[in-house]
Amino acid sequence: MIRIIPVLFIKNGLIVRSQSFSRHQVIGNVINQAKRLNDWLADELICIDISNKKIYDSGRDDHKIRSINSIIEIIKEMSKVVFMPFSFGGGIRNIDDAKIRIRCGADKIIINSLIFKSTKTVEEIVKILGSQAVVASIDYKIEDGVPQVYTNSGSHKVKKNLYEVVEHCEKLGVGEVLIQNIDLDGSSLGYDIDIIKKLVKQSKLPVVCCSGAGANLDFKEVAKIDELSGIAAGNIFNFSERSYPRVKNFLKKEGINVR
Amino acid sequence: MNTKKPIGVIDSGIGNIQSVINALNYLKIPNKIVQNAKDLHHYSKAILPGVGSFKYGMKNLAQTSFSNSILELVSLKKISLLGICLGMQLLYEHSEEDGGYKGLGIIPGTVKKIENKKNIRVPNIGWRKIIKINQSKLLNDIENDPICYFVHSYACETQDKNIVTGILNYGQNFDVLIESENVFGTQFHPEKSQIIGLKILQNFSQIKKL
Repeated sequence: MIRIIPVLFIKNGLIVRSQSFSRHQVIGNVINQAKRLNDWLADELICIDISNKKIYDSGRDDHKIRSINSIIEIIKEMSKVVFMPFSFGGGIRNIDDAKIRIRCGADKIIINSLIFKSTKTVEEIVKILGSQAVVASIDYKIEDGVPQVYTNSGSHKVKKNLYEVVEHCEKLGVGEVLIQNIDLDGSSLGYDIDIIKKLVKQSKLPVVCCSGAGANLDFKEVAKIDELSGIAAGNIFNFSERSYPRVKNFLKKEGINVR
Repeated sequence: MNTKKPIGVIDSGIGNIQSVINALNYLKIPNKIVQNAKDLHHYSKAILPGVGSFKYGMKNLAQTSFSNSILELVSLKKISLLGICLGMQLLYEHSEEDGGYKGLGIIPGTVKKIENKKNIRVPNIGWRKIIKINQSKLLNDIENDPICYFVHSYACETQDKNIVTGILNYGQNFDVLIESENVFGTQFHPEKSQIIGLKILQNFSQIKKL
């Protein structure tokens, strides 16, 4: 059973539409959208905070919701309306950051830069929260045919490729990997099939792919990859009305094993 | 007016108690966080949630004295206890995790690592079908073989198969739902399993005291 996972990218408390990790257009209130996705029985919800400055205000005049000024409050409020698995990423620098997110209602935390900054902290988080609660988000760009890993919202190049980093994460005890091709982010060009296929084959960990979904067929194509654990997408689920149930129904009709 | 006695949600510093509380609140089931082991005797029903490693979980239960009060109240006062995920595993005698560690020992059996093989990734993360066996109170009014959300690397093997009410086939069979008199356990997360999961929590809240 493959998971179809909507992703909310939030910046300063608001959902944004993301493109190539750099341009972000505000599209709505995070709590309302989380609630909507819960009503559509989404398999899981991923929320990634990509704020540079840690100022939060999810209060938009047109959404009649009181403003929420800290990421912890946002997690708390979101978890009140989602009765599905909820992963939260962004801003996790130490064990306390990880613990408080879980305590406030996240089921899994998603780490990125930390993998490269402090392997010791990652190991510590895994030890305390367990592998199953720790997801490594890994972003890459294809350079000369090789998936080169980048961090800090795609601005900093790591001297390792995707396969090496995933292997490293496995050793650290991380429970799942979420991979994103930066150049496909917001492109609607379809998923990075070849790379995803190769990674799923090489890694023992559950792999969730993201970036590139533009149409129902994109989901179908990537869902055919044997042993892929989840398919995530951001813009498509947040931009068009009822797109989540539409994608699910389409996949069901096409014989893909979804819930 | 709901005059039912609240369910105690045990907070020993492990796991995601907020999700459980949110689910209970949503269902309008009265509940209260129990942070002090001494207060547990005020409750006739309690939930032991848990995320994390077995050893860390047991150490926390010991440090906070919850292990003693849980053992005492479950056997003497017959308090109804529901362990969720790690909370279920902690009910067993022993786990292989972290080189082996002793559990609460309320349920005879052990917690074993799920073996990684073809089509069996570890941790087991995702929505899986549970095979119903034996009569179940928790699955009361639930369609056959419910699909629930799992996230775990270790799983329970119960000695007395009569108390197992749901199994998961993931490479091999694991006991993922147990109901032994006043002690209940779910390896999956009912608080994260949408409609079916919420129904399971509601069923727990409606179980009559022994």
